Amino acid sequence: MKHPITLALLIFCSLVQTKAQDYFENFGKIGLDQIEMKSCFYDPNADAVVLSDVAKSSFIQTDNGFNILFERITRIKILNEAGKRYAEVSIPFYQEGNIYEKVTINKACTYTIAGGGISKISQLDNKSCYEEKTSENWRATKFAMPDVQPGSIIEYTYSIQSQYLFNLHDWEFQWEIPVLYSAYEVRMVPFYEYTWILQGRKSIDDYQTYVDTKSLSHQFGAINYNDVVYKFGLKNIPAFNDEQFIPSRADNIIKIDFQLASVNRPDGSKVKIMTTWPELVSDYLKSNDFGKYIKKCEKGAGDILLPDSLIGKTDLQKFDFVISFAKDHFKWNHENSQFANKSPSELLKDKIGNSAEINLWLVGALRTVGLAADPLVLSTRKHGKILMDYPFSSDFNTVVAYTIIDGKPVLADATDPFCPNNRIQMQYMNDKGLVVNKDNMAWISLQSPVISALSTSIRIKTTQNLQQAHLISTASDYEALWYRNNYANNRKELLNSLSKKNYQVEDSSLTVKNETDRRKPFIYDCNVGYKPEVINDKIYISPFLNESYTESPLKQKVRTYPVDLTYPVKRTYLSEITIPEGYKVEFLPEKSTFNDELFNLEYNIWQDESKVSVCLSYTFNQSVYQPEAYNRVKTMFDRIVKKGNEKIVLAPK
Amino acid sequence: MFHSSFHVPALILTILLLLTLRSANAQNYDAELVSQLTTVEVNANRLVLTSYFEVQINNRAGDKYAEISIPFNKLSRVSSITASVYDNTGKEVSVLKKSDIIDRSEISSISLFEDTYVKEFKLRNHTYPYILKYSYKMESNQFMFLCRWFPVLNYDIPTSKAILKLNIPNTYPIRFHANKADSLQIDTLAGRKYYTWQADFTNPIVAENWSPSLQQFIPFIEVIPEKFVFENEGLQSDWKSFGNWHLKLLNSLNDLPLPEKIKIHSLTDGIADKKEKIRQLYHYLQDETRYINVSIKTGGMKPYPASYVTEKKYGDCKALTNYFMSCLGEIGINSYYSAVNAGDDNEPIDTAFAAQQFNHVFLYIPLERDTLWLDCTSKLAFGYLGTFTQNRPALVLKKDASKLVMTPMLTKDDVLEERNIKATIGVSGDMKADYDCRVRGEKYEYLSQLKSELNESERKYYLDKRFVNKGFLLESYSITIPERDKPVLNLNFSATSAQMLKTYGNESLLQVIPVSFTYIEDPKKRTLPVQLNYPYYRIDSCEYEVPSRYSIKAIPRNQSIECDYGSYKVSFLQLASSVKVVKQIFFKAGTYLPGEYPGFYNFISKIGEAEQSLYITLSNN
Repeated sequence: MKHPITLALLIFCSLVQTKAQDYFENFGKIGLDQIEMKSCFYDPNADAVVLSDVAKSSFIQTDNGFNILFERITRIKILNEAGKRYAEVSIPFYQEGNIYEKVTINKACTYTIAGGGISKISQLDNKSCYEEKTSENWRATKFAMPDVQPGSIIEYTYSIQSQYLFNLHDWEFQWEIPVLYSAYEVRMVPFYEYTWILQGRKSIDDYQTYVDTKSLSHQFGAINYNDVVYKFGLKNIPAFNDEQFIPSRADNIIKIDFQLASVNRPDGSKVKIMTTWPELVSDYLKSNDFGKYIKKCEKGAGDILLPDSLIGKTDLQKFDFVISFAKDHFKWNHENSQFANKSPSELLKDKIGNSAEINLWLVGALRTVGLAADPLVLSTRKHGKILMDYPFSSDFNTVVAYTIIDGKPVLADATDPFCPNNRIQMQYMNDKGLVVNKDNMAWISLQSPVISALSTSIRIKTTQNLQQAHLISTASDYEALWYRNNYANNRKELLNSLSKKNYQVEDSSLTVKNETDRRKPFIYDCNVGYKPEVINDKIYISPFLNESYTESPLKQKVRTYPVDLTYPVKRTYLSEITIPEGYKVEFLPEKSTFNDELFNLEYNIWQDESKVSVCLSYTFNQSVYQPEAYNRVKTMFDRIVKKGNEKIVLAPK
Repeated sequence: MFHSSFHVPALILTILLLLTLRSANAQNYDAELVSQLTTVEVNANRLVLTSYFEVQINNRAGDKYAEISIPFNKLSRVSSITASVYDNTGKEVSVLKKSDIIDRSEISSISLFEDTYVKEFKLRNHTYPYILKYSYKMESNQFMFLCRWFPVLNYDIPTSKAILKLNIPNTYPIRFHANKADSLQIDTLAGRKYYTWQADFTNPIVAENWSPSLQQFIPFIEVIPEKFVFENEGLQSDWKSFGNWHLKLLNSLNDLPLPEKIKIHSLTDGIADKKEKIRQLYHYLQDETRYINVSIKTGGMKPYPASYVTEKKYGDCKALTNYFMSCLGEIGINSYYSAVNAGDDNEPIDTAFAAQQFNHVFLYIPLERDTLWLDCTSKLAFGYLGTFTQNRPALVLKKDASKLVMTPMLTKDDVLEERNIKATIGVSGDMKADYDCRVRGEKYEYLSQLKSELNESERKYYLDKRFVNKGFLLESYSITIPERDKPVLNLNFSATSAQMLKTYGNESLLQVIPVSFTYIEDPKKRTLPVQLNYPYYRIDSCEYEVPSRYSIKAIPRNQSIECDYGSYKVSFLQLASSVKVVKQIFFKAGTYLPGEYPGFYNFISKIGEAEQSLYITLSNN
């Protein structure tokens, strides 16, 4: 949803009493319903409930322009012992050099409830507020409300004065506990235009906008104006619960974000901040730390790469040469950025850089060797998805290289040396990215273009007392990347992971192939021994040992967020069991097939004189499954668990 | 994709008994501490410490050892930080710039606020191996320790050579405690004494299941001045003098406001029995206060006064203990502020080294007939110490008579977990199991915390992780505490599984719900002792109902293992349409050196094997 706040139009003046105002004036006026409340009516397990959480942002004139004043008043009912944690408050704010945000705790009280009323009010003492320096530029004001008991209501109000007009305070309606009422009021002045983006809800329960003619009009320069008020209110908001396999809290919480769209100068001129995607692309290309950085790399790379030596090579060979060069020469400092912080020559000297420094160099170098390459900006999984309707560069936080090899688009990223040359790291596989090219701007899917595969083959020999198996696992693409990130150069950890599957592994039998060679699959093999399962003289054999799922990873009955598996995958388990002397096959599990557009499962089994062969393979065709498909995903996992753990029975002849 | 690295809700619990840490690579360490030199100098009660480190980083995983963080606080000033990186040819490739150093708060996760900070920087190279050399200076005017020297980067990272030098006036008496650092040389020159210790750590270690706290395996030296000024003048020659200094910190902190005194009297004046008075007052403390740690000034040793807790109804262990001691004092009951090194790993202290070796305080209350220990931060049963503080020396503070007193040990009966399980088979072949458990000991502590401190979804997550068998789905549960002053709790839950009954032709196997064990290292690989800090004792009584479409064909044989490490018994009783199973598992508390490990391993793996192979054979009617 896009909602431009247009200030040019004077919308009809409504005299609706602003509710947010009420809340600020009503500090301490607690209703009987709130006093008597014992639980949240739509969430009886809630440990605490936010009775109201109301804030407003307004523009305050200063000597040099405007500051933003953010004021908030929050009232919470503590329902039980566990709810007391919501009586600890932390207010983050930003400080950098001479520009800063300033937090003021205006008032904070705990109301003790007894005998159907408030029996005591305990005020927070300002000396009990502490300032934590959480990082170089971030601080947090922290306090713990006094005298909090189950049943108590706490209420606090604070303000943040900010010089960052870009960062008009966003508003999260949702907490980890239910919120009965949440409202945000923004009082706009004619000099700044913002757009707002609502996430997690289709509409606002309580939306109002009007020109505030009740207050005195303000003057700035030669311009007289009244604040234009926008109000966003939601009621009875459910608690936000983290669930498994969600990449980003930021993508799922109900919130409203504001972005500065333009600045209207008092002299009538206008500086557009929110532009269009094409304009954004041109800004990127003009930037010293982006487009011009690439140009410098393109010039400099020639001395290093000696493109003449590549004459006669195919595009693919050139591509591989450049990506490998970057991966072998530069080390990523684990910082994601769309912009370079240092010059290409500094990168070449230090050989360590952020994602932009390395991947923009890559773009330049690909061009140097004669390939058409462009930067592609994207947002990491933790950072959240890009909203295609809102052209803001701040929504992106990193960059990779985009090129076309043999007519096919290819993404390249030199931050992770274990990642195949034509793939991007897992954190970067988030929806879509923007190709920064003036003439050919495009949105490109960042999903894995292939299904990653893991294939394990097992040979089992058994007697009554000892079962031995030889196991070979071959992982390709992202499955290989996963193994490399966890076990490359770390044999002991790999052995440890096998021990955790209850295998007794002969350490010396473990061999790993292509341990760090990103061009090839990651392969390991080993011998494992374990005690066979013998019941009433029959041998029960799990053909896949503990390699496939032994239980479903999905335990929730219902799901509100998508299941994100990061990449599509196919896993195959093949097992060959030698029938020991004196035994015959008494029972074999049934063959089974399942196929639809989302998944695929194949279970085959066949036997001859001396052995039984079993093969289970399953595919998740998608990397993300929407909540509507949750039951199907869950059933699929149940199927995998069932077939993967069925046993073969051998009985004495 | 999903390799079992699931998203875990943030949580404060760290109680899981069986913990395996990342293993070191035996031949090729991620990093090495090549050389470490610390010099400590005392001049006119001013302490100057300089530290130099030379760290070799061998691979990508070792890069984290090139991220340096130097702690400091209001009492210690850090300066002269220098650092540079050298490549494998010895060439200097980069030098730390002042602007690369970041200052930030370093507050432990249990605290709201502490005035402790770190100076941080990272300096790396793109090829391996590379060497980071760095040094800094720290100065202080108020201190209880001249140094606490741990010349080790991590338990799994070796230290080739480390030297501690101490340079003090002749007239400045010190005491020290040295672990795994025996070589000491003392020189005297021009009115000063020079101490030099050397140490190394060439066989790094990795925690193993049931291994003791690892600190005792690395070199460390703690040096204290016998006389010191820290808030007050003090002496730490023995526990008595240290106790006197510690007591002085508590002077005039018993400032209960008058209304609070009245409240305390109103709660207790009508009660005759002393212990009952304490119990009532303890309930009041538990019901009205909460644990919030704010630690500023004096290095977190001096409690906030009783008036602070009265007003805020919160405090850390010191504040709550001082407050409760004041309350007891108000009604004429003597109690003693006591310090202890808390933690379920029961990390030992050096009882001969009178110094601040503690991280927690509680109360010692001698009564006519028995002795009470009260943890004022605890929401558990009255007088219950639990795994956090059981069976270890605590320093009981008493004017001119402070001494170490052992806290009581958790016994077999204190830890007994009894489970009654009723399992039925549904039409689809799924097993439904109803558990009715009485839980004591560590699990009582864990579940109490789950019940009172976590939200519904976290509670379910951790219950599922720890109490629900693999392959089962938790359907419903309840946690109840029948009597608040008894350390026992009821856990009831239902879970279902499609994995327990499997049909093979005409025959079906019904698996007896196993007690899950974590894998335990092969004796060939085990390097550390086993240390069970308290016993483990469990009795399961289960009944498996068999639907009429099956008849019972065979039941497993009874088994019994009895040895020095404990015992295991399982017995079966076949009834008309059900099988009753009774299991008893008991591990003694104790420490077993690696030499005894094969025996212990044998015991544990036999139980593990037995538990995995209990099947009731059914024939399909």
